[in-house]
Amino acid sequence: MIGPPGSGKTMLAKRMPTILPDLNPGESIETTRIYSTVGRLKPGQPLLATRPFRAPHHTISNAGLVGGGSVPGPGEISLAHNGVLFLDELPEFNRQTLEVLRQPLEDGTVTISRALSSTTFPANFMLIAALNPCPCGYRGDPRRNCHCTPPQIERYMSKISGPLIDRIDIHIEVPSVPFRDLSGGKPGTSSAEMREQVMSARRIQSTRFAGSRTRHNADMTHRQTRQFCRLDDEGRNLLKASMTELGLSARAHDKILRTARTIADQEASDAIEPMHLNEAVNYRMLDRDLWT
Amino acid sequence: MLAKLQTFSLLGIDAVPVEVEVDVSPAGLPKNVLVGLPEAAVKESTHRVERAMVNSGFVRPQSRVVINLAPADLPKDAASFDLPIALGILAGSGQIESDRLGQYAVVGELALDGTMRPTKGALSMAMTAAKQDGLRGMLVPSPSAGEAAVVEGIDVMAVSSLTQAVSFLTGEIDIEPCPSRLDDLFRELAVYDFDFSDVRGQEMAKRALCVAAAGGP
Repeated sequence: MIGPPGSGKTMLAKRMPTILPDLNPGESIETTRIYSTVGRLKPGQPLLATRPFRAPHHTISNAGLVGGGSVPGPGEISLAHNGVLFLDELPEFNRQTLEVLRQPLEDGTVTISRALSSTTFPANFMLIAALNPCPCGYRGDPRRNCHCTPPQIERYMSKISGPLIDRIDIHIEVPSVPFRDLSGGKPGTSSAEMREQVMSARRIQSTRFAGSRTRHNADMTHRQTRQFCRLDDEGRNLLKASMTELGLSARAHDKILRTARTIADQEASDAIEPMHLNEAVNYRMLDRDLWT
Repeated sequence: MLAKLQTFSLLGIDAVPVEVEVDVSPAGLPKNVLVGLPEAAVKESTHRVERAMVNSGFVRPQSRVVINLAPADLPKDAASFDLPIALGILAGSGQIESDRLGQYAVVGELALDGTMRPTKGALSMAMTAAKQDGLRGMLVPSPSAGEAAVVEGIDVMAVSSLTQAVSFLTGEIDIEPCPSRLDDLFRELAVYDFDFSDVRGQEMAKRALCVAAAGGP
């Protein structure tokens, strides 16, 4: 999520666990075990029945994030197992610290090897990251002026590595909220409504992947992507145009197809319409020259 | 006399079975020997155990006490060995007699007055205990009993002090095993304090989060 300060990025991320499917008892015990071994269970709460939300500060060390110590202990990514890991102010994080996230993001586990022993911790989490569009935070904001010079912006954005950005499926802009939305009496879409949409899309996925090891659109293999994400002619032209125009990587190409598949699932549509594809392409903001 | 007890040590997030052997033999001068790769927290345990025993009304043996934590090559770093060591010394010095010692695994940290402190990793320990043959149950400090009780296939006994643990093992009192309240806990605790309706505007972002939740892990 990219947006100026105070636009609600943290607020949005914090509410992410409320629209994810409920933990099943097995997942809940897995997560509780991790909290139990580090003694983080609160009194009167012997079981974690909600998905965890972890937001480590950006001064965190490698060992704090992925786990470590001479007798390896779990880190923040394991504490976020089956939940959400939120990295606020992404460019402020130590670059090396972010690079260690790559393997757990792909595998869902992290293995820490020390001279004495090697330990594997579960770390299957959803990563949400937030950053400002520039050091002062107001680039592109219609109401405030940005005072950053192009080299400053370049330095700021270059702190996050391309390979990490490439692994993030959806990039969005979170603009500042206009007054009329804040004061209006109408409350926003509630978690219950959003969850209903999520659940219906998940149901379609579980029938699609019945019998295979894949469970979600996001972990489709390349072959499955080709099988399930067929495009019509119009869609193919659209994707071709966006790929050449935005200079997308092969990984981004597959990610767009998977995202488009999910959007189509949400509307219970069998085929991926150009409209769905368009939305998915729009979720690759950071691939554009404008932002990097 | 030799006493043997079953306990657990944490390795990552898994618990591995550890046997505590305590041998009390007559000697000229009282002496405590602790072997089996104890780290600092375990080394200090003998001091805690000594005072907790005296303050609970037991006698500290004036003999040579050898405590062995097996397997010997696994480093042990937790205060949860206090209770098994204390019970081992009491059994080894003939202050308690019990045929329940072999049937129940024991974990727990002791305070100097003999009360129990919560233990880390009680859930993993219960999971390992449930897989072991010959174990009927497990004594767990009452603050940690709730998480351990979630595991099926093992009786989790909540004890709040050394004296209570001793009375249970010698058969003076019976403790009801903690009931597994998995379903209740789920109903009680599976609520979030906040909701997306708190966020005004940002419907585009919400839509994207929805897509992420639908297709994600």
